[in-house]
Amino acid sequence: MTDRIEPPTAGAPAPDAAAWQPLHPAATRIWRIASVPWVLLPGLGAVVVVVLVVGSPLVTSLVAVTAAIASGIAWWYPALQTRHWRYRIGDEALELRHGVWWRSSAAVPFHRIQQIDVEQGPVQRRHDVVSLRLRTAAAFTVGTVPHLAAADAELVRTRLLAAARAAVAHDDGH
Amino acid sequence: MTEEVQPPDLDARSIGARRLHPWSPVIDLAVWLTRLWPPLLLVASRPNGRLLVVAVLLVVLVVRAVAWWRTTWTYDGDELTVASGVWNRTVRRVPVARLQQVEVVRKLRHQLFGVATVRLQLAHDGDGGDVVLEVLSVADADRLRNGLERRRRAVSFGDDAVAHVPAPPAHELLRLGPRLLALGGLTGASLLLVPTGMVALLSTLDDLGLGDDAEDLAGRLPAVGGAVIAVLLAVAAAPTLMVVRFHGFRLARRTTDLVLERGVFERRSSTVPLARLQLVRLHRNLVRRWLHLGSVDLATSGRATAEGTGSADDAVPVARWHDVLAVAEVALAPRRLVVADRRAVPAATRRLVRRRTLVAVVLTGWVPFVWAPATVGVGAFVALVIVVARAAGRARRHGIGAELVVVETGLIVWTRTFVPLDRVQSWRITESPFQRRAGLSTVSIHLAGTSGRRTVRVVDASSAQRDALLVAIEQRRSG
Repeated sequence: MTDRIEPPTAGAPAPDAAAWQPLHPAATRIWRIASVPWVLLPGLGAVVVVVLVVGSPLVTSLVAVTAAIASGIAWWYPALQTRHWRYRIGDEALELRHGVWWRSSAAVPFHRIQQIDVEQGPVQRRHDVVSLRLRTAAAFTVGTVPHLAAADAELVRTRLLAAARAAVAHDDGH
Repeated sequence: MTEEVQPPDLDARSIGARRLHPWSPVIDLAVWLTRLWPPLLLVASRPNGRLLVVAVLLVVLVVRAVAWWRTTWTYDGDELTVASGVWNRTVRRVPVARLQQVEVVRKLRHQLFGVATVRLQLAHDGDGGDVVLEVLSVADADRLRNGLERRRRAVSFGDDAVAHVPAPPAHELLRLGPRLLALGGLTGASLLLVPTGMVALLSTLDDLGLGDDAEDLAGRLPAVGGAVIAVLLAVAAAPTLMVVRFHGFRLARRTTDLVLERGVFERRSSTVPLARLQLVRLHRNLVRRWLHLGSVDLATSGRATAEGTGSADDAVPVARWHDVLAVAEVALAPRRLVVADRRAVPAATRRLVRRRTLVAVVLTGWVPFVWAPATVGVGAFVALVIVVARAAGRARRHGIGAELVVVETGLIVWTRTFVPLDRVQSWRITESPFQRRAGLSTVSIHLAGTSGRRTVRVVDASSAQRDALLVAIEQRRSG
């Protein structure tokens, strides 16, 4: 991951700047940590309640199978999510593509970038990854790149800031 | 549409440090009382309660008076500075260049005390939000507004000299009379009151058991009359409210701004810089369409506020359709209006019909199994849903110009939205599995602002339509 994005160089963009980049491989694990407990624990709770209250082996097995399937999906889905997440720094915009079931592609033009935030939660700290959040004047702009290697994120941020400055200078020149 | 109106010529290149109007603590106390009168009444009804209430009111008055003493504002020609706070001092500096909209509001309490509120809308939704100078003298409010507008015009023209020239006369675009406003009230959302009122009336008549015999009818006539009057009052409430809220409505253009004035109990005067306009939205329902009426929203990136003043949304509540188009033309000038000439593809209409039919069947399909006589009614309802969905699908259109995108949606309430391409902040394409199978996608265009209404969607666009939209957005940027 760290060799995919070159540091910004004066004048010329890095050769692979326009290539679609994947997220850090740890993204899958982080998403699993965030989703599996929320499915598994209520599922186990439901099984215990059914055993104590209903007591029917058939109902118990149905609930247990449902909980197991839901937990399996919660485990398997983040891998797909990571596989489908791509971003790239285009000529005029940061472009994002993601989504397994509902696919989404978005573009945030450089000249509209107002602010770039770097966010890191405790699990992300453990894996040395961060999320980059781009803000424009529109509240509904979706400009978050989750789970980038911290070193990559710094390079991406620097490149985006340089691109935003250049775009604004270009606009002012007109 | 051609009357010339001269604004007050007030010199306000800068205004030194000032306090709010001395009535400020009293008005604050009045607002406080309107919110807390029930517990105060409860306390006052107890032994020695009145004394306690008077003491509380005095404390509030003193606290507000101290707050008034410690609040000052200054305008130096470039920035408005507001300093406030008794213990913790807060100083806010608002550069004129960042202003989205300036409003002078005179609610009934302000009119009684001869004062006004100045509200400055900013483009962000962070801490603090808008800057509100709650109680100013009317002269100060006008001076401040005129000063801010002059400075903003100078910034937009890039010429400092403009700040020293009095505002040119405003060119009146539209004035709404009480008759048109009442018609607007009757044909607006209050239309929903008619069926609701009719159902309530029929239900009342049913409960009264009328029709059994003539004597019974005579005995219950007052109750029937009361129910009819209640329905009529409910239907009459909307036009009355509309007339009161928008009485004296006037829309004018002054150089680079639109100026809106309206209201009886709450006089409101808003200045909307055209350069801050994010989108223009025209609405009309079936009845208004038949009457050749419509309404206009002018959205800037300012916040939508709880008082409904946000960004001049609902700018023109009702107007003749040719006036509605004229307002849109002026608001978007010099861009040329675009015709929505790209219809939704057949696959998009089919998808809409399938989705709405599915919802109708899920909601009503079980009824015939429970109550067999309803079968015909349910069948007719589903058929109606299919017909309406087909018509709604055909009503979906959009158009692409060099500087504008126009999107039309809706059948019962029809909306036409004009989006200046140079205002687009970002875009997004989403595809559900069903859309992918049909080769469709939804294009969301994001504009500056915090409200969901600042996102314009072209739902179920074909791949060719989607690509044409994105090319137009990107070409505008490159051009």
